Amino acid sequence: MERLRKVRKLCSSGVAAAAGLILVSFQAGTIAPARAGVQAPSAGALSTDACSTAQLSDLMAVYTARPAPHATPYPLPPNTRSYVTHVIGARLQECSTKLRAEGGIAAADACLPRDGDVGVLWTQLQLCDALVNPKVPASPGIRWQLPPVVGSQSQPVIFVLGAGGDAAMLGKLISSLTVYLDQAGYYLADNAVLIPEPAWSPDAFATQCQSSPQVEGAIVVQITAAGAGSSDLFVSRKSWSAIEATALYARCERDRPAAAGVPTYIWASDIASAQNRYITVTPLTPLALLLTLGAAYEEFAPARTSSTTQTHVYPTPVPTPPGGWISQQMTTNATTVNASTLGGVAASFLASTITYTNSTAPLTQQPTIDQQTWDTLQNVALNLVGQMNCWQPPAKANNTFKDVVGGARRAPSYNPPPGLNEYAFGKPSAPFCEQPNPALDDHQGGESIRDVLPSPLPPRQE
Amino acid sequence: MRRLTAGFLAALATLGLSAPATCAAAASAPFASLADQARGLVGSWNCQTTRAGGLVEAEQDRIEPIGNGLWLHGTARSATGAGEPFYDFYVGYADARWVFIQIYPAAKFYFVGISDSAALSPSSWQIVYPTRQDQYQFRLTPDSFTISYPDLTQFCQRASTDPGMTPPSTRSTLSCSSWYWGNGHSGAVPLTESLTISRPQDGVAWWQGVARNASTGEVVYAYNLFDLPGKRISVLVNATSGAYAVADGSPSKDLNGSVWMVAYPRVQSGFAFNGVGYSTTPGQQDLPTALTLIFKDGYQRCSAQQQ
Repeated sequence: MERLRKVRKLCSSGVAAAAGLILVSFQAGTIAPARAGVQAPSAGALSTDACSTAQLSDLMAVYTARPAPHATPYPLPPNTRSYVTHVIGARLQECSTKLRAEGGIAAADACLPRDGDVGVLWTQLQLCDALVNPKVPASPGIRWQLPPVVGSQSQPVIFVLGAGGDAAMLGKLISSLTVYLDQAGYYLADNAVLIPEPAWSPDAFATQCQSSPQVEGAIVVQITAAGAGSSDLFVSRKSWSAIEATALYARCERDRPAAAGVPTYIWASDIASAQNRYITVTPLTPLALLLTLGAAYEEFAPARTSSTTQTHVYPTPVPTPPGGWISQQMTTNATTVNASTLGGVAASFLASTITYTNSTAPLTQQPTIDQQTWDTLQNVALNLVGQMNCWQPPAKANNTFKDVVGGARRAPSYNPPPGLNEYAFGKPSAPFCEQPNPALDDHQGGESIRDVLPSPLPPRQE
Repeated sequence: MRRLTAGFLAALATLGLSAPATCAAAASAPFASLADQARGLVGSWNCQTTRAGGLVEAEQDRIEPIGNGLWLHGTARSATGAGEPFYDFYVGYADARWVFIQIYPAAKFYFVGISDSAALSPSSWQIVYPTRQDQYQFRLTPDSFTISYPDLTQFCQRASTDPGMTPPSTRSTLSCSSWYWGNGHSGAVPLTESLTISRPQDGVAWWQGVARNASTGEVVYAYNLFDLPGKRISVLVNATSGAYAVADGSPSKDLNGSVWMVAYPRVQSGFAFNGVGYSTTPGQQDLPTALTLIFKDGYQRCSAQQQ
């Protein structure tokens, strides 16, 4: 009761507003919260097996309150300090264990309780609680949690998206790139699967990276330039289109598996360019051709007028009528060949023929893209895949990529990295590709010889 | 692909009956309890497989420990002594789950199955590599167990006699030295391993290696190398560390210069063979007389000569 009276006094003094309604009773090593004048909903020991600040906030508000004019915390009953220290210390230990299990060795060490001061421990627990249970801001997007294709862990995903440029072309480039990378059977980091997201901006990916632990990274393609043109021949049209694009890879980096990710660009391709030249035959219909030839002839031939006069003589009547009579009637027929009219008709037919087979200005037809651009974008995607230089499983080597339009394309050959015997020359793969290169250093992953050595290793040999 | 080794499951059943307390343990089950469970699998088993059409097949399985007891190696052989079944499997505990790897080169398949339970008598397993499949179950009864698929049922019970092992047709023994750098180590590892390579089945591109500590005789690691259409597979189990890996390699007959990618449990760069020597012609029919395994942080050199 003495304790209760002291706490009531504390509350009535108006100090420690945050803890004003909390009465704390320490009995036999347990702390039971109760409201002044209100029955406590439940009472029990403070948990020591959770990395959390739960149940402790109000207690610590009272604990750390320094009611004026006091310069020191309010005096606490005996054993309180050691009990709270024990609770917070145990929770910190739990935080450390969880962080270590998640691979955050440095964070785990930082969360080991080192100080006996309750205030310091409390601050440390608040920090470690935030590390273990990050308060991820509510995201308007849908999180990713696909079932794994291989293994039993959550399925990592790599998005393929675009940044700026023509939406239709970007969509096709993203689609082709994804299909090619899938068809080739490349081994991607952490068994990730590719998800094309042509409507996403890099910002959308950043949001997903922050909120979804399954997000591994994103391939961001950009169309840096595009052009098209055409020139007319007599019965054909020669058209060309050229597209240049680049690809970046943004890895979603986390210091721990469950932490909010931070996207970072870690790889960029060179500019991949491709062009296509099409010759489109513009067949003239026979009628248009005849008319055109006729018009051409008439253009140079003089205009001719044919005139025919026909005289019809009537017999003379007897006696002569008082009003006279028509003795004869002359009828004249004239025909003029008009070249300009014929030329107009021919031009009209010809124009309709040209319009029917026209394939010019392929890049301006929105929102779809024409066959020539479609084909060119496939070449750009193939070029980008080649620059990624991912290793292929042997069974998939020499694969060909196919699309609904255009011929089959041979998959780019793998150029092995330097460092292993005959593979003395070569180039590295993109970071999202896994490759069988035992010459990688420790920081790049790879199987360790410890897989064929006992564990623990024998003592070092001097 | 979906035929889970009958003998293995029979052993699971036995464990489920003999060690119910340990089966209820959490993922952090103590080592002793896991080792006890694994040891309970060791022995010989008689199994019957009844197919939907009424065909009944019999096989004899034998399970033996490798290393410190957390990994086991099993062989399934035909009860008649020839023909199918003829496959091997590994059972072990790694990464807080039980792992089962079946190797069946003659049928041109293999798979990795896991159970997320710490108990070795789970109600369900899933095949997680190379193709996911989680629709098979098995049931325990007081004196046996039954595993059911849509088109076959397997029934196993412990055998009273040991079927014995089919002797390998050829065998090659190499002596291995290792060099390791990293984590404070640098240079040669003071451990000589004796690597025995054998071919378990004639006419099948398949060989097995078992490396033992030359001093103590304890198995350090065991692996299988076999061909599938279009590629070559390596399954390695380190009996002392518990590490295991399934790797893909080139289908080339000559191992020399081949690089391998670890495909499971984590995709990562693997290892390379170098300095592979053969007594006659390269290939599965001729076991190597010398080889070097190159890893990112060291290499192991094996040869028929003492080093």
